Amino acid sequence: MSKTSKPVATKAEEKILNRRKFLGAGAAVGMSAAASIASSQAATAKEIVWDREVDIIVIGAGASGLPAAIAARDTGAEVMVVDHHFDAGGIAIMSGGDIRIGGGHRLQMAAGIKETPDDVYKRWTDPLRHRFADFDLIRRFADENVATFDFLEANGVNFDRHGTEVPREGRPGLTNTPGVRPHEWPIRTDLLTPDQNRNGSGIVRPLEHSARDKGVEFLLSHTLRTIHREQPFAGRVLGVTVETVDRWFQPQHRFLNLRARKAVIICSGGHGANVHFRRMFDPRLTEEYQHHGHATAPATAASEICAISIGAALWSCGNETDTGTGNAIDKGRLAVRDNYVRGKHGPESAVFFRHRALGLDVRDWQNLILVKETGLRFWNEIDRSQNGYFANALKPTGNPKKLMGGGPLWAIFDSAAVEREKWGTTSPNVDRAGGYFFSGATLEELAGQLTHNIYQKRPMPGDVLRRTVERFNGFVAAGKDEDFNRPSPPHKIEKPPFYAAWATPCLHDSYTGLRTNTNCQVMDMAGKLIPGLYCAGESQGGIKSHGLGRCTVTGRIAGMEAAKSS
Amino acid sequence: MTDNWPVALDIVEPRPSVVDLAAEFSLTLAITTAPEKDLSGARYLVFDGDRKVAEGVLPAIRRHDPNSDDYDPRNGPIDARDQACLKLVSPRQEGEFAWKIVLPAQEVAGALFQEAMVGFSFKTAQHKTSLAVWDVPTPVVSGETISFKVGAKCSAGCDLSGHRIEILDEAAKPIACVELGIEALAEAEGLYWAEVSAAIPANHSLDHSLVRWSVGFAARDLELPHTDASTQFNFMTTPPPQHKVCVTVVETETQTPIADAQVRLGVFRVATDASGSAHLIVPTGRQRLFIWEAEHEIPEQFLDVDRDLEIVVQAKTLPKENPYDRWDG
Repeated sequence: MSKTSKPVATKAEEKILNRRKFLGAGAAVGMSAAASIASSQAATAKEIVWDREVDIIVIGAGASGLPAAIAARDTGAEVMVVDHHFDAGGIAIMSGGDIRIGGGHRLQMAAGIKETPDDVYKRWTDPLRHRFADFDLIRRFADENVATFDFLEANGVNFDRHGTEVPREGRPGLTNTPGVRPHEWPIRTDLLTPDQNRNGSGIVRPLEHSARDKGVEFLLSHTLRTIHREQPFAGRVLGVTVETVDRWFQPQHRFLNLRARKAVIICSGGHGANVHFRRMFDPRLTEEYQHHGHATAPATAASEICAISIGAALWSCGNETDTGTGNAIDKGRLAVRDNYVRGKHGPESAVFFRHRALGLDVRDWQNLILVKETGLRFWNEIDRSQNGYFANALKPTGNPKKLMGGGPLWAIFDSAAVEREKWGTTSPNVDRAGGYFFSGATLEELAGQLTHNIYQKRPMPGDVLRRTVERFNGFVAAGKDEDFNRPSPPHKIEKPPFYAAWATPCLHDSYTGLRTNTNCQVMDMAGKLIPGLYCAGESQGGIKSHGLGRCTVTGRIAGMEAAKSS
Repeated sequence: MTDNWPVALDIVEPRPSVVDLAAEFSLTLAITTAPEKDLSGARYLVFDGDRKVAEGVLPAIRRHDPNSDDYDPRNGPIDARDQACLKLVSPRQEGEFAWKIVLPAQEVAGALFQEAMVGFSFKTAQHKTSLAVWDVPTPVVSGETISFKVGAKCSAGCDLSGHRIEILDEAAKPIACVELGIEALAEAEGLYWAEVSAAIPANHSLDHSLVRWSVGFAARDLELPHTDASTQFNFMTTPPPQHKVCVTVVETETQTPIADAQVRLGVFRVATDASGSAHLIVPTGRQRLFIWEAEHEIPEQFLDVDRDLEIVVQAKTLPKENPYDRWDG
């Protein structure tokens, strides 16, 4: 049997850990600190032996958790943030940094943009796009936009470089939501992925610095296991049990019981990576669909499940299945498992070991065909529409053992396409070892290898793939795609070697979560408040919105309101 | 050295179920014994019934290291047992086999181990051959000779040099035959290949049609049984082209030439050069002009070609995709 060894940080991780030391080890609770055997099995909450006691525990150190922690700390509360990653920032650190808030903040006024909280409310209650939202929550959100902007600036977020340029006016098909974007965080050693920084770092890094400077404690590499309440479905929330996880987020069976005198705030980023949880809202989303945060900040629904187990309700579930605007699913890059199109991590990244490859960006989808696990094309590869491309990508393949979900998608191309796209076919560009990229001298040989991918549950028949390509090549010669009307496909797939690259869509946001009131206090199935439990960001139900505006505003509200709890 | 450590063997999934005749195949053993004991270098024997078919020593035992980048529990439960990969050679006969691997009682690195064994079964099958056809020109003029490349690959990597590939027309009539060369294609391991020349019948009815020919590999005169293989390829035929047409693609606002746009006029296709021009020679007639370039929008049009032509096509730049446009709210 393999022996258990003490976790050793890789060079990339060391950079992060060294930075943390620099920021002040005194503010951090070490992974090895006072780890105790779990008392989560205690018969009653009274029997719990608490390892630590603070006023407020925030679960999640991302775009909602950091504002929540700071807002609570600003009131004088003693605050601890718990996160399962070895670094703060959540998935927001790889975000584009677009914060959809308005209502008449400083930059809007400077740019001569006249907007009021009522305008924000009106936009976010648009009956076409937001019909499943909680309008009471939206009202509070709208009213707190300007204050949140001021709060972010006061805590070091610098918006001046981009001003109000994001988003632009009159974008077709979308609500004209104003927003702001900070500049990228300038300290290279602070970045999760120095070779592809993103503006999200310009939000979470200054907030993390501010939180630490103000005395917020961080307990990283720990995940939530239990929320303790006075009685199973009644009384106050008392605290949590958290468990140490390794760098793969795997449980290490070492537990800490953390008492929260005032409140626990759930800011853990939603549920997109939890197959069973997400399928409550869309049964098609079976295991082959990856979540864009799998490698950085997996949205495991652990917090939601803990909260439900003490009586919390879900809310605005219609938001989650209403995928008509394309928020929840992405066409992705190729040849890498975590293939969110803009979540690219190179070897310098502290989380490259989880990504394993950069992946291939597609310049021109005319350079390939997409096939299902059966070896058959299913749609025009150029398209990315919800009701066309994605609906058909998620359509079952006819496998009697798998009647839900569309199975893996593979991009099939030849060496001429590799040359045109200037793709690299070796590591670190592609993940061959993990089973997300294959090559073969012939199409039959290529098809025969695909079962090395864990989601390719049955062999792709080589003769079917060959006939698919032969037929497609006929469309190229004739100049007409008779099957899916792709516009005059220009390139045959014929020159060996042939390649198959993972091209299965990946999931992005979570649009439903725990029910709260407008103070972000969690409610139960009877509509009663759960004393001492709050929730914000993607774990909270009620707001169908991508990204940072929703997270920062509700995070700040939750932090302020939780601090008032007695 | 009084201890006598028990050993348990298992075979790690996926087990080999069907293997090529007389071909090397891999099998991973899971080995469980006392903690800290290492069976690297231990002697093993492989039996088919009572007949020994192989023997050797275990390679270095592989131990899972949760801190290794190879350890990825997201792909499913990790098998944390010690593992060793064996390379075995399958029988030369087709059939079903039940083998067992035995680690006899032995001393390794100063420790004594008890005997252990594990069985597995598999089938053997003919080697599978498959084909590729590439560099096929299209369109081609009826009556002319074209050349293209064909290659064949054996699933077990057999040398196919000198073996024959036959080209058949749509009526399955042989058109050409070629022997595979002695060198495999450098970019595609084990793909033996040859260049083929074949004449296109001078038949007016072929003009403007999609022609489908097939390629066949008959597995004869090989040391071991192989499956036959066939595949198809296609090309368009055209009457003799007469008129030179130069299509220049420029960006509408800046009039900058656009290189590498795919210009298709009728059945002819060529990419624009650095000056944005594509030079084609096409037959007389009304031809559809379709131009594809991923970052530009270029409306389709029809040209009446009855003389040499030079045309300039305006390409409208598509707005750069704003990554945030997708997101609502």
